[in-house]
Amino acid sequence: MSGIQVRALTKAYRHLGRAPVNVLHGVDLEVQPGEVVGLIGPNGAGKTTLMSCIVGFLRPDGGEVSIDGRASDDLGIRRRTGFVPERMNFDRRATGRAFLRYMAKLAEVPHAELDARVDALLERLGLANAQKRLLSQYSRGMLQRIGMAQALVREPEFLFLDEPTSGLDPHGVFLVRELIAEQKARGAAVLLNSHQLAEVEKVCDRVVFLHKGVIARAETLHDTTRMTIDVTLLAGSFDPATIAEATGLTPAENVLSATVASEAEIADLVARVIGTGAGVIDVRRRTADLESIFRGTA
Amino acid sequence: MSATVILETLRRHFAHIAYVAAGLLIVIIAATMAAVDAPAGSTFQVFSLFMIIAGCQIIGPEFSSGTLQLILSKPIHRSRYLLSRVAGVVLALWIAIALAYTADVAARAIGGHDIAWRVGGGAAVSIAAEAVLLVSLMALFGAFTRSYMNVALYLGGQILLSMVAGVLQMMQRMERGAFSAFGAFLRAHPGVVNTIRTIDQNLYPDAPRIPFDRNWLLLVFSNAAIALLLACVIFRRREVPYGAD
Repeated sequence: MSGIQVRALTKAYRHLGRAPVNVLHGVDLEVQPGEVVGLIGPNGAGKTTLMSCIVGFLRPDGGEVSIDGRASDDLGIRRRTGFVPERMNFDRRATGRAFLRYMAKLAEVPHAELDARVDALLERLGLANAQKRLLSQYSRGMLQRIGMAQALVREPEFLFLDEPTSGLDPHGVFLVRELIAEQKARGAAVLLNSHQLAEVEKVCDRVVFLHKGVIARAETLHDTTRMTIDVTLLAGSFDPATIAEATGLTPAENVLSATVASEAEIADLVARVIGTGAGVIDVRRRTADLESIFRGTA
Repeated sequence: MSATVILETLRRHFAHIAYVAAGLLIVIIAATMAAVDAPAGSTFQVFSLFMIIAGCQIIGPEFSSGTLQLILSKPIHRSRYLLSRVAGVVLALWIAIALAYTADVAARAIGGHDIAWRVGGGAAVSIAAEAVLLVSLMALFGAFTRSYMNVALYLGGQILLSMVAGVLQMMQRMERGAFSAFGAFLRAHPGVVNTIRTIDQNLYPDAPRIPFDRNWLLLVFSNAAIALLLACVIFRRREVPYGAD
């Protein structure tokens, strides 16, 4: 089975002399190749623990985590995995280039390709001019970008990003957004943990809302096969029964909601509505409002 | 072993002001002592602190800073990483030992003193072997603790074991007073004191009295191997949450 699979994952933290703290209570999650899934939730929801279990830093108490059908700490899977930590910590006396070369060697990038790959990434991440500077002289945003570079050093098939845009200026945010889109286009499965809801909304295909260790809600943001539309009708211009007869749908107040698969279906629906003599003010695709989901009001 | 990790470990040492400063200081001390014709190998008495400074960087601090998470997301086996880090630190120490020995020999030659190749070489080999044991113990203690707790455990263990051994030996001789019964017990069971002393000698062995003491070297390398084996077993099972501290 391909992609990232999480089944009934449970995890508790145990400290000597203290009761165990249950953090994850049976989480199910799936990330398919070419899909970007966002992980959102309040502090303490278990997002970091979930990502740690998936990447293989923590051992789950129960359930199953597999990447492409294998354990996530399998070295074969590690070769195909990229991970961006929230805070990039490394020996600050290394230059940006030396750090990236070291990570590329650890990632087993073939020797013949190593320098070309490092150069390309430094250029792509806008760090070519700073490659000889020590990491201690890098700003938070630059560290974040070189953290991103080390994760992409071997063109991973599975990419885990923990707050990749935190500390970045708008230019850096656009860059990360572009890079995520590139990874998705390459067919990589991307799991993104972020508090920046607007960013999640822009780059993710799906979003899962983790609350108190369970997935409270999952929303598809950019589904190309199904979409929900709201057709706003001119008040007083339509008869609900006639609309229902023509479309098979009953308007709520003056809004007619429908689930369609293509733009042709939208055009057909609107044509049928107009055919009843109803006035159409607006046709809008409904998107999940992450802020409302986050506040628990959606 | 990973040559990449070993070279990176060496780079970190050579780029660290504490290593460079301590190394220079030791070379100066070696040259000065040789110039006044101090006993060969006496320079290496000051190496313990240097070895602790260099050895304490293994695993524990990497765990706390989050560096370890970055490394372990790459396709490197944990045991291979740990052993390569140990090898890198040991190499860094051996380079410093070789420099100190060279400085000692050079200063004696310039000063016109006799060069005690065998005694000086024996001391250098002993301290090099001791470095392997110390770094292995640091790796073992670092495999299950955070930050610089490995140094605390190493020094704490050394102090505690020698104190306990000393106190028990004293009590063993008590034939009167409050602890006479305990003294009688210790005399009847000398294995108790011997065990403590053996543990102390195994973890913190005194330098051998003769150069190239084969049994002493065997003891040091065996204990280092056991420490590394345990460190690998513990480190392989250790959870590494990111943002640990």
